[in-house]
Amino acid sequence: MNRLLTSIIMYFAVMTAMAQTADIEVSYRYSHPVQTMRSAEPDVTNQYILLTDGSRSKFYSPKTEYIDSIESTPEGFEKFNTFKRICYEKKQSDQIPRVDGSFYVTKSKSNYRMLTYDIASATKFRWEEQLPNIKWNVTDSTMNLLGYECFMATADYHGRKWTAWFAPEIPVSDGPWKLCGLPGIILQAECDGGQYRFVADGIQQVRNPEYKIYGNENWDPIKREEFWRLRRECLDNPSRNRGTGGNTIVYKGINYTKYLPKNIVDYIETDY
Amino acid sequence: MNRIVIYLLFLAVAVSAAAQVNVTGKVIDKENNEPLVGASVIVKGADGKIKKYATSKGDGGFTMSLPSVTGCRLEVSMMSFAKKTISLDSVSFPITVYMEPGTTLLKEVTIKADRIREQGDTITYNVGSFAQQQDRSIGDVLKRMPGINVEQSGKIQYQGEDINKFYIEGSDLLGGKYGIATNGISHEDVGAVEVMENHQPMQVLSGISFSDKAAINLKLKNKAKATWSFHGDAGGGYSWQPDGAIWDGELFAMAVMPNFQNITTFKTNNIGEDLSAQATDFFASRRGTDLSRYVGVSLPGVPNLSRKRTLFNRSALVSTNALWKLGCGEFKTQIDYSFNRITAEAANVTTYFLNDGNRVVTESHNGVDRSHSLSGKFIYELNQKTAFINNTLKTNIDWDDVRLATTGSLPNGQSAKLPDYYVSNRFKMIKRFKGKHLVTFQSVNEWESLPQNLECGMLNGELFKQNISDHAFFTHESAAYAFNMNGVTLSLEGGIKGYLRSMDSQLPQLPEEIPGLTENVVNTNYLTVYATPMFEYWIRRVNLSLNLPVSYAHYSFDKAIANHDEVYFSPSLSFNWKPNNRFSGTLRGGLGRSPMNLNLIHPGLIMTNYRTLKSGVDDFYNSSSQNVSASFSYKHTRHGLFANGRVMQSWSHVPYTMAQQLYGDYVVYSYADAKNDGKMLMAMGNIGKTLDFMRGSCNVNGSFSRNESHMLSQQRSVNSVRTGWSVGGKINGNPCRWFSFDYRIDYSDSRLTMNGMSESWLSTMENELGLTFIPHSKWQWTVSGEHYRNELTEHNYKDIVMLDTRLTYQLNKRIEFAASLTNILNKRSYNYTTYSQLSSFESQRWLRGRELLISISLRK
Repeated sequence: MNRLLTSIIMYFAVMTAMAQTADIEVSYRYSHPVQTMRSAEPDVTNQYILLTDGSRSKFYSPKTEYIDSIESTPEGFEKFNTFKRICYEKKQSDQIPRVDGSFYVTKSKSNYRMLTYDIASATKFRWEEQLPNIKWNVTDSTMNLLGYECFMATADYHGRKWTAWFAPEIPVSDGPWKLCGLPGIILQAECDGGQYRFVADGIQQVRNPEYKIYGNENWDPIKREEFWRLRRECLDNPSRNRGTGGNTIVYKGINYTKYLPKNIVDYIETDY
Repeated sequence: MNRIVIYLLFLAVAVSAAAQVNVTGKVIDKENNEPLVGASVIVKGADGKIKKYATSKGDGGFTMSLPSVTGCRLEVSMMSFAKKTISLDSVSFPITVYMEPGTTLLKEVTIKADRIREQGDTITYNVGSFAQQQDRSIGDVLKRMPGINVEQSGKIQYQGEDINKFYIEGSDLLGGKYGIATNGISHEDVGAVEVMENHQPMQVLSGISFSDKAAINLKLKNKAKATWSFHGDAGGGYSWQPDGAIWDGELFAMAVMPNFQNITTFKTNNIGEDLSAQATDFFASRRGTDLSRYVGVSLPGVPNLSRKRTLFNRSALVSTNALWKLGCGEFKTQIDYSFNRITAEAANVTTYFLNDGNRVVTESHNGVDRSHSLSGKFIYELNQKTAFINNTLKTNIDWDDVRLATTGSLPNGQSAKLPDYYVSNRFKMIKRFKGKHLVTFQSVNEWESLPQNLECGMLNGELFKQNISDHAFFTHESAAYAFNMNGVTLSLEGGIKGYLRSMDSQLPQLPEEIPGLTENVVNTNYLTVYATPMFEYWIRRVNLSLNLPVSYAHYSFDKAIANHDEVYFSPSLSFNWKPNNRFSGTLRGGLGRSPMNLNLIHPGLIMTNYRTLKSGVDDFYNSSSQNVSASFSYKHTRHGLFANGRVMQSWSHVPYTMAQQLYGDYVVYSYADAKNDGKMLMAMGNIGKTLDFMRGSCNVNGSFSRNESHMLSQQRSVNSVRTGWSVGGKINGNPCRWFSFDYRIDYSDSRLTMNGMSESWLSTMENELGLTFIPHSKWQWTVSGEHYRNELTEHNYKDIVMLDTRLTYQLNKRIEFAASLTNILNKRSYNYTTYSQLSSFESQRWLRGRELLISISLRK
């Protein structure tokens, strides 16, 4: 009897300990220029979520993940297609859920790996990198974000200079996108010039975290530099520009055809 | 020498060694003695700044080197472990840090909705993020939303344009009487306000006909849906002027169900709030019967001062509105009754500017106006993608009895009975075939009777009695066909309009000084046949629309003046460009000829009030006009920025002009042949912005106008130019939990120039400030006040400050008590001067005195 009681108590103790795992979710608004490189302003805003337990993390767009999760099984893919077709026929295309942000980043401290999933030329790609060792320069400036005192740090990363604000009160060395390596979670980050920006707008504890990427096998391997070069090449492909209304963009009084040049606006990574 | 070098080298090495402290150690889980990987290790200075940081590696180790660790502390933290802080002043390295399990408490911030969101053509304002503690109705919150402007009357504009629909949960229950909703619905029941830009209310026209107007939709919170919600206020108190009891009460009930909606409200007060304004139909189109009152006995109003300060009233309003969804269509009824009793006293000095010297008339007024208004509207509407049917039956009965006693140069008592009876039925049907073809039928029939009875008893025993009977019937039948292809719509509307009106007036006696006839028997009838070809080009971001209405009209006047046949052509063009979601620009222009107001046709004199008479035209005139306007709107919802501006220029050419002639103390207005050209320029702009750092918003606006007109006075021509400009701003915020504020300033300046002689600029300024303190969640205290500064004559200012306060105690979510004291300083009178075209008017008016009101509010 005693033994049974002990094991029941043990069971509950383990369960409560499990329930206490510190998975947190931070929601960010990611502002950036449109992918067609037709604007140099951060006109597009997506919602992203950083899910982390301190040793591994997933940075994802919840709306996109919702669709990827439906489409990750053949039956789901088929059903979703049927649903879309019915919506179009009924002229209710606004009912169809739409993807939001395009990429995922997962980081793992146990094997120092970082995986990026993104789309170029309408194809899903993924590549692997070493978990970056960003040389942050922590400054004395502080700012209050979501009720947390945040310190400012700056660093160069993938061709851009980033300014990040991190909260030491949350001892998770992680952040939005690929940014990490500070003694506290990054709640805001902005590159020089302000074209790319992540701003946290919510933070909460999670009960049933899911770190998996749905349909992992649907993403083709690629090298990082190749991916960005491919994206750049797609800009010259006229099919990408169809329906964007005119082929001339005026920026600061100068006309450009199809898209703005690299020195005015480039991707979040510029070292490719 | 060598020795010195070595010595110096040694010294340098020693100094640098002394300058660097190696902070090394290990992070260990105290429970199982295992190293902890990934713990955050920070060295903080005495000032709390981060000096150096590291992360524990695979063996739990960390290493950092610092110039000095005096006064520093080491902070080790990791998720699921309690934070450890160690002072570095008296420790030796390497150190071992044992971590104990613990929870890292998160200050959870739920992912909150943006204050303003944008999706396609819909802009969504989050009501909770704009509301302040002292706000009650949704109308109070709408005023704080940038881009939305609520006029004094309650009319709502979005980006400078009147809205074209007001929905509650997607249903148009109230039509243009949305003041019932904005003044009645509690902001706590509304989750979001949606603005739908370029809203085309008729689905059948969507994609075919462009609309530059926006609609508002209230999205209710779930708790207010599918149920009846009620709230009520009852208050009573005492007023120092007028001396006596005051009351203010309201009952409001609302049901929003999937197939049924109802809003019923009852309100009454005598604290200066005119309730009939709340039932105004802002979408009402001009009546086809086109009658207007000749008699104008009205109580003098007060410009530049809030109506609540000056209105001595007893008002009541009952309104019940219901909507039933029947199959694809809906049936609506709207029934309103309002009562308003207003008393007013005023002392006036009127100066007429004449070429042979000024004439001064002094008077004091004391009057009562009792008005009742009963209206009913019954609507059936089917609004689908292929068909639209609407039938609206409307009746309106008003009674307006005015009594006004005047002392002064012409002491007298006036009494006017001014009822109005109106019935109309409008039927409209649109059918869309094969997506491209539209056929429309419309039938409008209206009847109105506007009898007017005026009695003026003079002190010398003379009694003038005037009776006017005026009624009209209007019918308008039309059919239209439209064809749409690839964004181009061509349409042709054709129809006939018929109008029958008869008016007769009798004024058996006339003041001796005045020459002329005082009897009129007039029929003004017409029959118009018209055709309106229309061209609309709407592709992507450009909309161009051209209207070419042409009509032929036959006017018959039953011998009063000669019959006329006329042809009218009034083309108009509008161009809208919307290159992106943020910017929209519109250019408009039009010109045309139109017939005169038929009410002006009467050969004899008609008395307007005891001192003014009007004689009609003796010929039929047409006027012509041209207008051009340009407007733009810009918004950046993410930054909460809204801006709009417009410039308008119009010209009018009227072949007659109004002249005034003085006979003793009497003024007689008449019309004479003249070339009367008017020119008007108007420019205005408005910028609104959210101030997120204090949950507030601000707004800046400005306007300029210039009116030039030419008229005849005492057989001489007068050229008058009125120039005016104004600027205003408002700001509100809720910088901390216990405090919020509202501030508004308006400044305006105007000047009248006659025949090149300019009068001085006269300015008015108004400041309004409200401060609300919330010392405790149940208590709320508001102090507010207004400051008015009016320039009576050049550099001669009249200042007045009004102060109010209100204390509220919330017992629970359902019951609230409030005490308010208005006009604390007990200011009782107010003076001002205004200028009309040919005269100046100085007045002294009485204000509502100090008032104490205790009230209770209940809600379900």
